[in-house]
Amino acid sequence: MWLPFRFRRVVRPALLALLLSAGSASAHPHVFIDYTVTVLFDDNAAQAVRVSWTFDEMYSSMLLHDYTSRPPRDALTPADVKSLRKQAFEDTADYHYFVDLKLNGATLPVKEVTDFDARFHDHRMTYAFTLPLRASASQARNTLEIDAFDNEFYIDFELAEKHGVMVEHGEKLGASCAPRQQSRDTTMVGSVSSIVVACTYGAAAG
Amino acid sequence: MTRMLSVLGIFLFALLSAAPAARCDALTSGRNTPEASPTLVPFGGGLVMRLAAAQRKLNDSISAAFRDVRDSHSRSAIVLILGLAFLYGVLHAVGPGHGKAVVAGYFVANRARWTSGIAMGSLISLIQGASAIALVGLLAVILQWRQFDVLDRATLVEFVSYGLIAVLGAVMFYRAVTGRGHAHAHEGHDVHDGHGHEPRALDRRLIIATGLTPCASAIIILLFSLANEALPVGIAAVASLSLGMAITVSAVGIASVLGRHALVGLFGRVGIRAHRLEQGLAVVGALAILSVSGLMMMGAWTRL
Repeated sequence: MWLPFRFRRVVRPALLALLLSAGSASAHPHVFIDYTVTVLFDDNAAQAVRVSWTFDEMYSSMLLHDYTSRPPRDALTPADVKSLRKQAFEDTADYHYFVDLKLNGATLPVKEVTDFDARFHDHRMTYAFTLPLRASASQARNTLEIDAFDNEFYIDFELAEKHGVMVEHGEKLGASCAPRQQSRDTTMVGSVSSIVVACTYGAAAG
Repeated sequence: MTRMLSVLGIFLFALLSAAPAARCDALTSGRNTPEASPTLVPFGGGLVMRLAAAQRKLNDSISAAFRDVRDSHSRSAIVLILGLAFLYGVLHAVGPGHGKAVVAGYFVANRARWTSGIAMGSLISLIQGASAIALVGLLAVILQWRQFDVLDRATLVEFVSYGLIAVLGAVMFYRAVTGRGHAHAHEGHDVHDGHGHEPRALDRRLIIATGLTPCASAIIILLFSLANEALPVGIAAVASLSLGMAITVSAVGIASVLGRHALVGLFGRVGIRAHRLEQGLAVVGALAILSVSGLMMMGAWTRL
């Protein structure tokens, strides 16, 4: 097939790029989560990170409808919590619970979750779970970064406005945690600006 | 008509072919991203986040308004829902998907009036809304499936839809390359007149195939309205949402029609023969439809 020279070199790639960008698969959020991060310290180091997710009302309603006993709007029973954990939480292990942890720049594996809990309040479902930290930091000054993000952007994670970042028992190590902006790559919409919670803390005395 | 019925047959078969999956993956189902596809950036990350933030707010407001409808049958809440859903549709369709690539590819491949861009964009969006309503009506209302199973099944419908689009894209590609069935060759009226009087068979099929893909947001809104005993309001909201999406998808249609026009003018001035250029554009448009639907099909396959 004949195509003009310029067309082949310039216009076709440009057009294709345009069309592809217009037509890439949906990568806009369908689930909206407000999350909080609580960093738990013991006398020596950061010991665990407790994360909570509060879903948007529509998604909360679906979770309530499918995985809990009726009638809704009462407190969830232990059986409800178990059903939610098994059927609507554990599969996110494949996505390491949408949390990336870094200690002094090195990625920590996110494999295990403890203390899963779910509650329904003010029309919204909230999950809470703990990620135990296995590595112990021994530097004089340590940085732990906690990053809740879905790089497919199916879920939009946003740090909760109230009590988004909390520290427990961090006084001894002089811990301070705060959110900061960073750029994250997504699979479909390029890099976006997202929040990472960064904690700095000292080593245990002696 | 027979073909239309067979398309409908495939659709129903896909819908009901299997019982809902026993595996329930609430947060990982209905994902719309093929793992293999490259990063395709229609705009900067800042805009993506602003769009997401706006959709989050709209989602919250629509939810609250649905509760008002449930609790007090508030009329103003219904009006509010319709308005917000419209806005949501405009913003949501800016994100990737929703048939924009098909529309863009089609109008790069074919000479058309800008009004055809509006017609095709609107038809696709409205059929997508109707598809979501049909899906929820059949699976959630009549068959009483669980809500996540309904959302899951949308993926299968999506897969079938992309498959049909790919077949039509391949036909377009074959015709463009061989010069057979050239866009205007078998039409009764003057080529220079443009067209848009009567959608050709391919247009209709392309529109229906693209429209089959239900929008996840429309399904979620319908399911939410169902849970709040306000399904009629949910259906009206999805109609409004589809109108909003029609604005955005039509804008892509108009831009493609005008872009093609400008391109033809530009190449005409440097002395490239019109029919060669037309053939080139037909190939490019068809290839775009074929490749994008192929990508989307792969993406849907990984989620089946």
